[in-house]
Amino acid sequence: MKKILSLLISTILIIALVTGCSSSNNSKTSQNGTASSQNSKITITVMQSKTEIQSDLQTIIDDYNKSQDKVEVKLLGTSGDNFATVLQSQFSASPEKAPTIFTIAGPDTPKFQPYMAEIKNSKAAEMLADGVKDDVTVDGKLYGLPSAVEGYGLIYNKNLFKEANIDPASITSIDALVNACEKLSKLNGVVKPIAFAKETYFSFIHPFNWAFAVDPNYKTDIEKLDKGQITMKDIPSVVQWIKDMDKIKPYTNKALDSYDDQVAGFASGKYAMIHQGDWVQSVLDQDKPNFEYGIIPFPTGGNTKLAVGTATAWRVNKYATPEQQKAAIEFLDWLITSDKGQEYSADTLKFIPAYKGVKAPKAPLAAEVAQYVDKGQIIPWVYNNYFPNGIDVDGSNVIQKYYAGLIKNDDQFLSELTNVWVQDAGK
Amino acid sequence: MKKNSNTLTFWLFLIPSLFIFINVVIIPFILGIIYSFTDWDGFSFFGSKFVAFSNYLKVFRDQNFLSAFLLTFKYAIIMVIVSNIIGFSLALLVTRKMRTRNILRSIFFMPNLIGGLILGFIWQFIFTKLFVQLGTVLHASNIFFNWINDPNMAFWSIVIVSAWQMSGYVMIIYIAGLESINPDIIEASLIDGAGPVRRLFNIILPLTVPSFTISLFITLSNSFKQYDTNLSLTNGGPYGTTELLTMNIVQTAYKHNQYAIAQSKAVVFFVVIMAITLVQVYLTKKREVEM
Amino acid sequence: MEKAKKNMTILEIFGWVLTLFVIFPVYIMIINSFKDRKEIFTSELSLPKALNFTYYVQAIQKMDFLTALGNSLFITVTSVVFIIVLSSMAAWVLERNKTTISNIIFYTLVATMLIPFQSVMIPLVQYLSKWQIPGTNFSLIDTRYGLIFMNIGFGIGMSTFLFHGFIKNVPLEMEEAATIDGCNKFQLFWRIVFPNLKPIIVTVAILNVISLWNDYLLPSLVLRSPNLRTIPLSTFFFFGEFTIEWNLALAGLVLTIIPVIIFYLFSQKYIIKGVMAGAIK
Repeated sequence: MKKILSLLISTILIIALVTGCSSSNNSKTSQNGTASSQNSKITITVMQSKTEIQSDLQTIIDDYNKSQDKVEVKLLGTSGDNFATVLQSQFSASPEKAPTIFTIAGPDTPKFQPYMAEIKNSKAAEMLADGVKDDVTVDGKLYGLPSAVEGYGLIYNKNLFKEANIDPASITSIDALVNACEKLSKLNGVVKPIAFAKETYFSFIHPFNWAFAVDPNYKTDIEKLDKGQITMKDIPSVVQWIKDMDKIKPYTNKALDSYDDQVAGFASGKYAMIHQGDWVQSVLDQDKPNFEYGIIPFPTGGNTKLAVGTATAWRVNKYATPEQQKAAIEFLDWLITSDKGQEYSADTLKFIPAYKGVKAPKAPLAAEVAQYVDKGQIIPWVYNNYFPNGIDVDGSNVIQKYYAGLIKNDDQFLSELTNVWVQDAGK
Repeated sequence: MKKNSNTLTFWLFLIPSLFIFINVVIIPFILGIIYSFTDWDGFSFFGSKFVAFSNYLKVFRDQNFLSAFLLTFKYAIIMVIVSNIIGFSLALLVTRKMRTRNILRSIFFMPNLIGGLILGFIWQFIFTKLFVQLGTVLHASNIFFNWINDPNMAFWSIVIVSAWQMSGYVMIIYIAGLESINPDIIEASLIDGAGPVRRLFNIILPLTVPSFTISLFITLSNSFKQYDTNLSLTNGGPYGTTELLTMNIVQTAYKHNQYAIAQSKAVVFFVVIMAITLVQVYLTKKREVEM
Repeated sequence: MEKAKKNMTILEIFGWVLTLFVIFPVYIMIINSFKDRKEIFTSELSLPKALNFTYYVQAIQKMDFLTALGNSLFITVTSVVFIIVLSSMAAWVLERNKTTISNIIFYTLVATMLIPFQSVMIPLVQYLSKWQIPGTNFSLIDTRYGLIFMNIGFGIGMSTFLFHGFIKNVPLEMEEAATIDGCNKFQLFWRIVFPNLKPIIVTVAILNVISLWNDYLLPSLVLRSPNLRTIPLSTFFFFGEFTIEWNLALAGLVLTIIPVIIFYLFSQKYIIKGVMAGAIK
């Protein structure tokens, strides 16, 4: 009996070993360009961070693969939270096996800089809008093609504004905003006029970005700040931003809601405004608000421009073969500039174009943002290239303290911000 | 002759395990230690410069690291005590001859299957919304309020959620220990007329010392490595007051891009914890022998 | 006897009262998997308005559930079988031969349980991706056997530790008797020792299944091709850049844990049977 048992176990083991190898080999047809060299097709791989568009993108790629027979595009799996880590592990192991096309933007970009190929001979590159070119340019060379731009500000409930008799166009100063908040807070059902979400980007990075984005000298100011030559106190727009935050703080939810709760609260009329961007569209649609909504700039220091930046950008792997790199740029050009690609980008992926003369999506928030872009009423996402790494966590700790009433005065706020900034910048 | 065949078996039985273990765990870990003495940037090691102990000096000057260290100690001590007491009691309960014991076991073990962001979703709801409602309804808003926004209670919320998971985990180990006690011994003690308390202390506990060694160590090491619950429940907040060690290390690496310093932190962490826990394992193992 | 029965019933009721604390969060998880987003964020606690399985159907489709289930099953089962076989063998020789070298090996295995995975993951992928055999497709990265290999490596420490603690329950006299009967070491282990480890084998299996079945981080680093995705990896669709499709994610999780609970229920029967078989002898 026992003999049979041990025999059985060892058989299972051997079978598992054998089938394990063979079945994985079968399924692992071609991960990279080299594996499918039996036909002359070039294989390129794509890995991107937006999980929401993954299945739509697959459909689009299938279409592209059918439309021509030179290149086979393969969409690799993505992962939400630890996308950058997964990508990093691939590049640190063997760059030539990492994806041919990958997306990255924001503070993680510099890490991947050594692995990005310069974008040359691209149709899309010539159509790139001026405001966003900066985001993907390093030392005068283009290192990526933005997939879309996104804009944020205060998303407001049009019905509540009408009810309180407020003209959104009149909110061009913090005092006007405070005034509006005063009126809105008297309405039935409104718990707080403004809500911020507590995630590090929403509670700190996005709001704090205004302080630099409205500063025409932000590049030099940040450079000096990094070196410790000046403190936050020496930057007038930052001082102004803090004064403005003091004024609106009583009217906010003190950034205590999660993103989900914040948007749900807006949809239910609990919050009249939320500090968010056009990306809330898909969530708002599911929350089914029974009112119309729009987006206005955050009026710190009289600002009337929306913060618009590159959400993410397509990058080409420098270590891919020249053929793969060329095929990658051709594919991206198709996606961004061809009629079919434009249609997909606007209608299926709902990308607000970062390119001139390209179709824009119809969703309400995206359309409003696109209008601001058209009129040039935009200021940059300074944090994408100029905020130090780790400031999202450290800065949001400071702002949480501020909301919790643990920061005595503006001076302390300024000095704590300076401290975390210098500490994160000076490594 | 016999000695030789013994040595041969010894290695034959060990080599498959050791081969995999060394390649998967030991070598990457040693690489990690090597990286901690360089300015490695998290990507290819090629081209990194040797910097001797400068990363380690930075680690010891990092105030956040030190406070995360202390907090993790506090957390681990509490967790070891709480989850082992609950886990062992649960195991005692569900090894009695009850009709529904299998279902009970499955239920107590279920929390282990809920991880990551979902865990955060469920418990954040309980601590941030349900508690606030309870506070209003029961007029006890000094007990039931938004725990996640209070530095002290946010810490305890992590303890509660981890205990909720970990107790069921160690219960499984204690069940194995209790089930392998020879029923004759219990029977004999019943005939001797031993009361339930005496039976527990004189018979059951001594016979389950191996399970205690294992469970204490596993709770200790899992508590020191706690990351998931920390991340999904409080994310270190409010204002960084509940940041445990692993989170501190992960953020040093992936948020601040200081990979080599993060490696040094991991090494410091490992050495300190290893010293403590090996003493613990050594002591309890010694007890097993004496028993 | 009457009194003992009554006591048992009281204990049983007490046990069920305790489960309320455990079940309540699970209850929240299950009821919300039937609600749409609006309902989730307005009435988390109440029962769903309608018991619709739309989100389950959607989750199954989006996750490509059957493929993922197949991958998860294959990877988990194979890893756990290897872990049990290899670490029980290792634990046995380590426990029965107390020498300096065996102590060093044992304590190294134990100590590495303390390494935070996050601090070895990048060196791990760097190192193991160098394992290639020229002229073949062999690779530990992006293959199921590669992930299994790593799972074994990470599972062996704790499992050996567990077996080590329980192996002394196997009476040495039995082993000696078998040796006299002419068993060699290999037969001795498989015929005498291993069958006597049943309860702890089941325990090791459960603990490893829990951690492997739900593991996200390691598979996300190792598996790249979509057709290799395990269940946790395939739920990524629901975890967006800014938000999560809670109803789908919750439905996905409920689907994920059902196989483990079934496995657990079966394994418990086996534990008790094993002990009873031992007792009859």
